[in-house]
Amino acid sequence: MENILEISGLCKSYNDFALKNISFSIPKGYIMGFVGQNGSGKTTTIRSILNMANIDSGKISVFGLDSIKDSVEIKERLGVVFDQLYFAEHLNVRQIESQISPFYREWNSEQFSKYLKEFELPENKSVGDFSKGMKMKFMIAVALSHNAELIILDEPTSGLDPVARDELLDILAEYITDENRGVLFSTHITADVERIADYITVLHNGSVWFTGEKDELAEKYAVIKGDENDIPEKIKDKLIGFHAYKNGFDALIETDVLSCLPDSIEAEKASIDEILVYIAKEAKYAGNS
Amino acid sequence: MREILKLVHMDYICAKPIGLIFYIIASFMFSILALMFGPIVSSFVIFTSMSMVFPIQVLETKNDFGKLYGILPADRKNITIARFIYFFACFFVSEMISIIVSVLSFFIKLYRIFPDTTQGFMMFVEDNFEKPNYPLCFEILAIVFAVFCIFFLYIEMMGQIFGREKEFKIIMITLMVLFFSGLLFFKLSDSIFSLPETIPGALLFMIVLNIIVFGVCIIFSKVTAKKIIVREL
Repeated sequence: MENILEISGLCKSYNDFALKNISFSIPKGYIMGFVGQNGSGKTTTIRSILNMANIDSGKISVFGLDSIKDSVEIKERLGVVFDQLYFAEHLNVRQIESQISPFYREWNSEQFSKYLKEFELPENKSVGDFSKGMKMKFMIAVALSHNAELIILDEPTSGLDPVARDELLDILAEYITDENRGVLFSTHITADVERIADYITVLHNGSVWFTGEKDELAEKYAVIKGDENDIPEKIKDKLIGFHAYKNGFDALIETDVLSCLPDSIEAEKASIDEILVYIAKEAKYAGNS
Repeated sequence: MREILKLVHMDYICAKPIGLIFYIIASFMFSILALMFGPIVSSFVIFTSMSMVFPIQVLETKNDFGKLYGILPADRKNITIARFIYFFACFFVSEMISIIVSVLSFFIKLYRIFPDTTQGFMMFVEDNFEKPNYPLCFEILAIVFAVFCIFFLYIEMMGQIFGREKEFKIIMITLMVLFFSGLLFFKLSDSIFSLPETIPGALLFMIVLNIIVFGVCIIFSKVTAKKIIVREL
């Protein structure tokens, strides 16, 4: 499988935060969900891919090209959607089109007009006066109008109502029907990832906690609950985010260890949300001890 | 070069809705005044360029252009160079308009529509038209263009390097330095050099001054690009 994006050993540090050895890749024709708590490093990773942040070490390659040396050529084939509008807010959609279309060899004005009509975006209104959902749709219309092969979205659904979120996810699902394309979609709303992502990378505290197929992650972990005294000694160190309370405990555990557990301990498949919560608890308790 | 022109066009589209109408109206008004009262008034046309330059600086503080520059397929160095060339172009176009208007004013002599040109201020205006000093007029226009253009290029360089929030302080300090330098220059100017007194000499002076200003524009742009290219967007 050919990869549309490859990140290998990415390290980037700031005063109070660091990305440590980030490695993952997105095969062509798939959507990768990029999840993690607020502050886990998702936006920093995306900014590194876009050469907007200066990386300390590692290699990022997009379409087989180096993200630093071939930055301009990569951006020609890349569509990006941020959580905030990045165009001048006093301009309308046509003025913005006349600003940016000259930069893209494959800008398709008919396609842009088609998206404006489909997304019901008014042509004579300043984009600053659009609602949040409309701004998001406009950024997507721009991203989709120059035949972009990879779309990167940084928390595009935050602040959107459920209807707008649903529309955005439908757009992405339709976009990926072309097997030569890819999507990297960062979010902390895991329900969106569960709905459309094929692959998932979980970031925690600047490191990759998991990267692989979404189904693999879903099958890999379970939430267990029961009496703390029933936990066999040999698996106590395998518990993630262990939390004891008055009537029992709960924790996350890998499913291949479930067979070692007594029947008195209940186990159920963990959702991505739960996985993130238990990872965070693990770090919190490790920090407190 | 093509990329730089696209970026200049981008800045123009940004400033156009805010500044173009004012620029056209103000330029037209000052042109009429120049036709009536003397070619030197056409130098005010150069000032009106600020309406196409100033909005760009204000918009940068209000919008997140960093992300836009980050996703556009354009070299970051060219983004900076294009900004300076855009500023230069705005002032250069105005300078050309003011020169054309000043030449027209010498021929049209619109002051004649006034009933009485024999007293006070109108006598001064009549003198300007009847004993025209073409070389001095062109030289003054070129000097006004040079001073304003370099001033705004300098402010842009300082703003990009040190941050827009420090721009006001930089403007105040620069204005004070310019004021005292101007005073000193006028005191010493007779002993330093005299301006050409012929039309070919004046035209040569203008061409050389424009080339110098363009050179300053390129130097400022490269210095700025070198400083800010390593910054994260």
